Amino acid sequence: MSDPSPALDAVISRREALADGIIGLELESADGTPLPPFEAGAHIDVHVKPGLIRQYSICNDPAEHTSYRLGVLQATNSRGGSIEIHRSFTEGRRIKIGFPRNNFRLAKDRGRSVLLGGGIGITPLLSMALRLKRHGERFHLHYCTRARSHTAFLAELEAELASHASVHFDDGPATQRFLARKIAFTPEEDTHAYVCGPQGFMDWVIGEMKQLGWPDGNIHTEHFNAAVDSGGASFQVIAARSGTIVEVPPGKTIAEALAARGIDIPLSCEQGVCGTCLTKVLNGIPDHRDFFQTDAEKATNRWMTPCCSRALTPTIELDI
Amino acid sequence: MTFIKNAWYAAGWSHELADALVARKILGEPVVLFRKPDGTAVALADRCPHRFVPLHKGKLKDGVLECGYHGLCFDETGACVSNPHGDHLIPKAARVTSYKLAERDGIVWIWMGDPALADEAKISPFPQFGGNPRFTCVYGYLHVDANYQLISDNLLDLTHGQYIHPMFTSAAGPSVFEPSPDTDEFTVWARFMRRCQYPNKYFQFLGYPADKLGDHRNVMRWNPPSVLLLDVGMTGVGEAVENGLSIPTAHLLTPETEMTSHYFWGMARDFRREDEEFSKKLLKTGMDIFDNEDKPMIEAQQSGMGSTTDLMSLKPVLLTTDGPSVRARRLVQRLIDEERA
Repeated sequence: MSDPSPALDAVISRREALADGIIGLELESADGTPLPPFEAGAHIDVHVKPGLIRQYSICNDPAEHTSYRLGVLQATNSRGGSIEIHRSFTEGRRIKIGFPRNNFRLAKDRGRSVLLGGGIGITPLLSMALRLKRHGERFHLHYCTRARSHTAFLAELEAELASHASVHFDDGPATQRFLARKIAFTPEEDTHAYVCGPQGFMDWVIGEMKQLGWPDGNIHTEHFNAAVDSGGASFQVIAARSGTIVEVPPGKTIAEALAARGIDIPLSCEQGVCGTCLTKVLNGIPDHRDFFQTDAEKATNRWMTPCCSRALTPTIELDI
Repeated sequence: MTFIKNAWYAAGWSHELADALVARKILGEPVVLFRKPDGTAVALADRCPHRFVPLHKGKLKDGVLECGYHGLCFDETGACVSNPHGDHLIPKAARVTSYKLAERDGIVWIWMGDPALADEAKISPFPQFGGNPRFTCVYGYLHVDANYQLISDNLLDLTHGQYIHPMFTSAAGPSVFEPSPDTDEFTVWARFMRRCQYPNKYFQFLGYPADKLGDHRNVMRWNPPSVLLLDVGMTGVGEAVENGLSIPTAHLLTPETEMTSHYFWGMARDFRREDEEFSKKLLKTGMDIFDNEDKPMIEAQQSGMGSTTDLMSLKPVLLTTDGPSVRARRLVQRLIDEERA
């Protein structure tokens, strides 16, 4: 059997504490050859232990790919990945990593770039910033953290990106605090923003930017198109046949939320391809995330796939 | 399962119709193709209404087809125009079906359904083929013992290249499926990208520098009934398509029967255009890939499915990369249902 996701043998050449709860790892190839090149914004799979793979952004300058630098926050709501890395990823240890992949590219026809990072979301933006600086492009990085003690890469920012970066601490003086409306000025057509951080940070920043007139196409976030994207705000689903009302929180699908209340929808692929769960919409507007319906079918909003699609309205009523 | 009847299928490449009669079963019906002295392509039912022998065993005489058994002659409309026997009267029933044909882009298109509905505007364009001065083409054909939609599934999910074709394998893993918006009701797009990678063996063979990173694109266009055009090429990272190598391929799938298919393929290249040795190598490479790698796998798949050709009735496990093939199958089914209604 071949491994479905090809892996590289790497060795942890350096581990350092970057901030409270954040370690930096430097990875080199186990046989000393250069690692594959990567684009700014790319991430790699890290094989944490058998059966556990996590994705981390590469934060160094893409022009320097003799090593990959990662920043790993020990997440309080960790499902085991970051805790295990903090516990067992010691210097000199050999690990398996995937090839770099990029779901967070710099726009092709870009004029000015605005990089907006919250907390550990800084990692892909750092790589972008170093890339933009090397090529002499116009950009600015805003980095928001809870406090100085929680802020990774401070020294690097001061040394490499001083005139291009502003750091905002939540607990700092009001004058330095991050105000989206102050910095997320109305963009020119070729101004592109890249937003990365915790969901709450992203929702807030993007909400503010949209109010300021930023078109969707100029706001970039990292998207993973391989797996089902079950992110997004919570909403209510009404199963009309029984009148049951269920809350669908971020990270849960309609089908999962209904199943927890004993309402089972027939499912097969669970990623919006097969159409098995196609369900009639009685009220509300779906946020279609399936591949089964054509764009024209989606536009009618008469049917939706509860295995992966969500709602754009606070409530959606389905013929279930 | 059955077929869309009212559609343009590829009956062959234009260059196949020279002096010889070409016999090909299409949608279960035997067809004989030939060219009249003025160059017009003709398709007739390949069965003499007298003794039901195949007309392709006969010969062309001044633009009419003479049956090889007893000499009845048929013209391009399918009418019998000569009976060498008795009083030379031509029986009313001495007539064979004549199918509508159109030639575009080096492809002979055939309409097997209601001739009144044959609208040439519905022929999918393959502008890189059939003499476009920007491209040099090679053409191939293979016969596949499998339902045509299994071949279409193969072409709409190009991640298989990583596993089945050693030449297409990349150290960075399978190509990445990128969903694309619909452009119209009758087109399904399947985009598979390998961005910022070193070239695989295929692109190295085509001449892309082995040590230069690039964006390798595969953008498949599918149109009913089952004709596909793949824009495949590689350019430096982020560079315009025109700066790199382009080698679009045509994949024209025509059901022979429910269980067997004609697979016409063409490769058009915009580089090394005068190099005939390279053309030969390219043709051989294409044959190695399609005949020796895809065909055995698709035939094994059909054989594994037993007597059915309806993959979806077997409730397959589906992955996100199957989105385009599911959509194409839905459209075929819709058009079949509309024809029956």
